[in-house]
Amino acid sequence: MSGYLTGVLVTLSFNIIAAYAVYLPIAAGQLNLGIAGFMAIGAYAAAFLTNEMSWPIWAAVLVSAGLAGSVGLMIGLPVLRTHGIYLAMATFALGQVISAVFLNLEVVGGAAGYPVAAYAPPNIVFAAAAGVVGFMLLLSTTRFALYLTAVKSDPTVADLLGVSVRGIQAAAFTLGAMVAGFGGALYAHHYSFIEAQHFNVMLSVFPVLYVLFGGTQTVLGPLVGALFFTLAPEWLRASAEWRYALFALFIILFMAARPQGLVTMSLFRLFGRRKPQVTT
Amino acid sequence: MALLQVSDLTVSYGRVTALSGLSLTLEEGQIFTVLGANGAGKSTLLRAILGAVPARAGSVAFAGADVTRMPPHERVARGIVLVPEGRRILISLTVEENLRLGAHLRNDQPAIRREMDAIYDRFSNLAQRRHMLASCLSGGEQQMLAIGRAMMARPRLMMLDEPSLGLAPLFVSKVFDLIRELNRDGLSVLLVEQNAGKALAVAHRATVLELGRATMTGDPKLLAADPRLQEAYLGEGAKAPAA
Repeated sequence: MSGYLTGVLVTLSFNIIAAYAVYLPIAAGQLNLGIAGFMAIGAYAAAFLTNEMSWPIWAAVLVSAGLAGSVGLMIGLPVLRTHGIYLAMATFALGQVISAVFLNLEVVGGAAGYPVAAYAPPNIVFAAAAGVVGFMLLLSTTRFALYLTAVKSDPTVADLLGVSVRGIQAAAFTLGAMVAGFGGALYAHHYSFIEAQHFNVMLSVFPVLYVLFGGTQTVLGPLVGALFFTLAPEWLRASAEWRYALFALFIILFMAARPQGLVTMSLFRLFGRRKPQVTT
Repeated sequence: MALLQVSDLTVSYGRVTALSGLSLTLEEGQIFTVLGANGAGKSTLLRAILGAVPARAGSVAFAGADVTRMPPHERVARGIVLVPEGRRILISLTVEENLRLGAHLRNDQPAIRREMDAIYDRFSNLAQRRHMLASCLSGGEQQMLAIGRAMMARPRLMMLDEPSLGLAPLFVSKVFDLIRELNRDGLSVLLVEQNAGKALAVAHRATVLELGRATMTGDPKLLAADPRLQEAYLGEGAKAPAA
């Protein structure tokens, strides 16, 4: 595999993980605009564990993902009392605060950044992304996915049916934070260097775009969105400096024409019908 | 012992009192009808019994246990279900997923499957559309699905909030027939209705709510004959629509 191709696929893997971190709360009807903060927690925690405590990478990554999830749960419970645009603002601020904390934390390098000694090769990154996709596919077959849809489409009726709405929302938010932390932890060990400035607003916003573009109705939407946003700019590379302008124009037109995203349930029904429906 | 005992229940939204000191007793196996004008507190009563709105004062006891401070999911687990006003089917899910959602607090998969098949036997329209989105259903079919979804929780008490609202006359009759059938099979029912004539006809006991208080309670036949009630809910001369 060429270095270029490997580089693109590694970026793709991290984008897929980030997309699912954003997708989980969106599937419960909540927008987390601070996903970069949870990636930062995972990245710094894992780097600290391998650098200073000599932990093996896999253990550091898993524990850091758990840590990011715990922080997500602790912060999520109060933050999830807000809804809609207020929740978006609260999580947005949260992401900024977390990255500001690491910017000033001297024990992990502060503004100078933090080199990471242990290295995770591309194959590990690919496997991790595949693992996240597999986990999400598995999750989509469980009752939890049904509750997510119920909470997202009608929280009032979900409550009346006895679904614990806040419980499901907190669980989705926590799982999303965990996936973000997992991605961040791997990122630190693949690129061997992290700095607080990397975990900025754009890192939080782009995955949201992948998910909205791919579609929030099905579990495959985020995957398709991440694929498109990672690979399409590469294909457009030939048209040089105009590629981003054309790309942006295309996104605007696409979202205007198809606000529900690319992959929807009706699309599945169109192509994946198992048996003919009786329509009398 | 009564299945449901509501005692001096008071519920308020901010400074507006929706229920003030309401008491009612529902015996196991009964159909209990609650009548009242819009804003009388009927829906609030059902929501408070389920725990979706908190009680400011008073208590709710179900099957001998005080459930006043319990969250809705614990009350659903004990056998209280609500078929909400306007049906509130999840249109982004399939018919079958809606039914499955109704059974979400249960783990006995074979029994769930069996009861789902029983619901399909009862409602052939739902059976034909089981893998289609619930948005494909007509209003009447959605009401059947809403009741089926509530059945899947295996309730002891089913509360229905205006089940005939906005339905074609054929489906209105079907809904009331269904309520009778379910009751014959042992289900207790608390029914809130605008269609006073039909609701009193199926009931064993009834009460009239006005501004959060019960003003008349008793035998539905006597209530139906009461001149005040006839004037207010049945229209003069008791010309109840399609009664």
